[in-house]
Amino acid sequence: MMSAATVSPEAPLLEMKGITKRFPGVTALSAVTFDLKAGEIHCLVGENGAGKSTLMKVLSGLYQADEGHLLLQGKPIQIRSPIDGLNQGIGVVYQELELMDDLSIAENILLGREPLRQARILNWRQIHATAMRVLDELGLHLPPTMLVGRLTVAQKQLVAIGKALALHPQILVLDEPSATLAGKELDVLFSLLRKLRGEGVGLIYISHRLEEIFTLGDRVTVLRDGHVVETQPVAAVTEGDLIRKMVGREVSQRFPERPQSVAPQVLLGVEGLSTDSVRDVSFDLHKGEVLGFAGLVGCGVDSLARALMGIERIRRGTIAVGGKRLHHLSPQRAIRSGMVLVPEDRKTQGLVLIHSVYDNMSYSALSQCARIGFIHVGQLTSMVTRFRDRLNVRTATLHQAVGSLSGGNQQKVVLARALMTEPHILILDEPTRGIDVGAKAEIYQLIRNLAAEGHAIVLISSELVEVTALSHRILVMSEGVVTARMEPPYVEAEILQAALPKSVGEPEALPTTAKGRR
Amino acid sequence: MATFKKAVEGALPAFPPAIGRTARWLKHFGVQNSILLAVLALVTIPALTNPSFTTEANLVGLLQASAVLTTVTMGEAMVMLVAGIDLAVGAAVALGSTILALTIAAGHPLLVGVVASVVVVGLCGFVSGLVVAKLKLPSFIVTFGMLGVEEGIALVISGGNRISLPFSSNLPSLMYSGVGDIPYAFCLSLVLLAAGSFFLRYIRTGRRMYATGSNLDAARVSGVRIDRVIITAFVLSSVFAALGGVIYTSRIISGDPVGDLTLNLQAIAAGVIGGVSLFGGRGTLRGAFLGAIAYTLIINVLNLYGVNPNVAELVSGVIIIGAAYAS
Repeated sequence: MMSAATVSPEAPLLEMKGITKRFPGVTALSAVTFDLKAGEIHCLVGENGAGKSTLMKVLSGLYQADEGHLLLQGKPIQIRSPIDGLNQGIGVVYQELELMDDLSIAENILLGREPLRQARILNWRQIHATAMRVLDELGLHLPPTMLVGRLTVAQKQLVAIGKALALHPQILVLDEPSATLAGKELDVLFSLLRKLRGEGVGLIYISHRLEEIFTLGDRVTVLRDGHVVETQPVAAVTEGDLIRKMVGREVSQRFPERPQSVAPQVLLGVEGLSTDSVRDVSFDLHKGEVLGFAGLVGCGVDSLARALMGIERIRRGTIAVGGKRLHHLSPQRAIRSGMVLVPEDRKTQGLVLIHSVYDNMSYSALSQCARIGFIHVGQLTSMVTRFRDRLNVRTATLHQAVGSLSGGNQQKVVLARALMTEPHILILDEPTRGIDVGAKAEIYQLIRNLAAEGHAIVLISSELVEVTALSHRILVMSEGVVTARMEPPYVEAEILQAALPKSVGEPEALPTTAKGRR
Repeated sequence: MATFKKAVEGALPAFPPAIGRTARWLKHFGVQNSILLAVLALVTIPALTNPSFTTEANLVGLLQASAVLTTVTMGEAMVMLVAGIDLAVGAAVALGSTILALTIAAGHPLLVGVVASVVVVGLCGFVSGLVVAKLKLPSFIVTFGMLGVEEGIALVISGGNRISLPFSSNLPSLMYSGVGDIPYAFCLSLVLLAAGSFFLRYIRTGRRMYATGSNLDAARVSGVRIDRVIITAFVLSSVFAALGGVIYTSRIISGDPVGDLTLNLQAIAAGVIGGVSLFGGRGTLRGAFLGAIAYTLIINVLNLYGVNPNVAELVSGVIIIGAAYAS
């Protein structure tokens, strides 16, 4: 901040020139050039896997670039480690929350640079005072001694930003800071960032929510496949431009046309289903139909999906597949009767990240490729390859670890695995969460195709546009009950109205708090 | 759930505020000090029901018996805090005991023996820490190997036999005399508790053990030199174990290259009883200390009631698995 006075606003605060970073088998960044002025918010966009996070890790000192160099206020610098980066005034708020649940807010904020008294003893009074000041700046009225584990996800996100701020960085990198924020917290964040910009801090802002870039940003740089596509003033671009440049092709059909025909045949019949968090849910799902479920976090739809798969205990009601009632439902039985769940959190529930694409895809298909208990490897391989191609999973080889793929490709692997069980009924829980625009479009098309082929699909999503664009019918849930049944044309306001819990007035307060506790 | 909470909160003001405050304070105190309450219960109940518990001999015996375990458990707790586990503490005690007894038997002063065992055993801890931090191997594998190394050194230098202390040695008085009825060995353990607690609260490396054990990657990007923190934890665990070895030697009045084979299990169980998390980042030395006291009391009480003392072994195994499940 001190430097802001001495540097003219036009001179770049930071220049990254010709940055190239290679990992075994891939070039994550190739000759990327990027600059940041003091007192500007420079947005960085691109699909997952485009290289945004890698670029920021080079800046923070977590990675060393293979080629290229960094200039800070015109002077070449080397950043050897995150500590080194911090000392040179580069603060980073990482996408994954880098906080410790077992430590207090104050300790988290000052970790790594705790103030000392004489004899190298920690100065607790100063730790708490500094933290208090940072909390005030963030508009968080919490005691600095509170354990971070007791905060909501949104509060944690703000504390993580506070941690970076406590250092008074010249450059602040925010990697998807808004992903967990809503409503008031988002306002606090935005006004804080604007204030920092006013003080001459250079901000790099990464987000998938394009509308934020137009609200907040001064310039925007688009990355694709490790290359800079372009850097432009935000005022000179439109959302359509950005999307086109991010994916490198026209995404004209973000939502493919909804096919009209739904067969009369009922594949899944649910009657009066109740669990611990769902009451009296009934619906029929037809062959070729996409049935959307809309609702705020905590509305019970997750519980419903788990109950259908025999994971959560059913208190009352019946489930019938193809007209045949299922008794003593278990996941094995559900799969055998032709249902499959694509879970919400692919990293913990859907994939073994350290295993290869091949292994992950084959887990569900082993029984189909086995003869008297022995696996027919050739058959398995051809099946895996077929599904990889069908879902357009982009991998270098099938033996690459799933964890090294981008979010969209990981999601395709989960979907491929689900499809390999040859299901009639697919339950998709948040199938596009955290994946980029291009991969989303592909998954939407896939959902359409699956329905057209005669699959029946239960689509659970917190993105209203997604549900309305894809579903033949929508059931809205709130507080464990179905509050509305809708058919196209949908009115989003009506859906939201039905989704709001009757007991609570503020819609935006719900998603973050309820999610954070899980 | 939410309505229930609301109902409870609504009901609270019905009491005079002072009572509500006291009740909340008591609840908070109870949660924070459950291990202290457990120790009190383990003292009070046998004291009321079994006359032989309160005899001077039994109470002094308890203090003597707990001195080794409290010391070793506090060291183990340091490694547990950085999300590791030290399976070599039992072997470290044996090695420390052997070096100490050999040095004294060779005619050197007590202090030289203590320093020698602390340095050698501490060095073993340093190596374990170095391997865990730099080569990023799981601590249970590294320390399991170190167990063999330390045990092997102890057996080789002692020829596999116990080493008797000369009659002139003043080491046994560490255990068998003290401040009033409190053995010096127990006092030493209390001093270590105070020093270790200060270290964890007021010294940067100590405080950063919590951060390192809680979230390794986050600690690293925050500028914590996690290697240094991890190595320090392993060195301290070994130093505490070496001092435990000194106390152990004074108790059995000889150097023992085999040591107590179950000490690893006991120390981990005692730490867990005292609220030190098996997954790192959570716990205090006070908790570890009290956990070791509670463990010793359990064995003592089982003894007084005529239960086979070997059951304790079984109990500690169950405690570890149970605690891992609970967290």
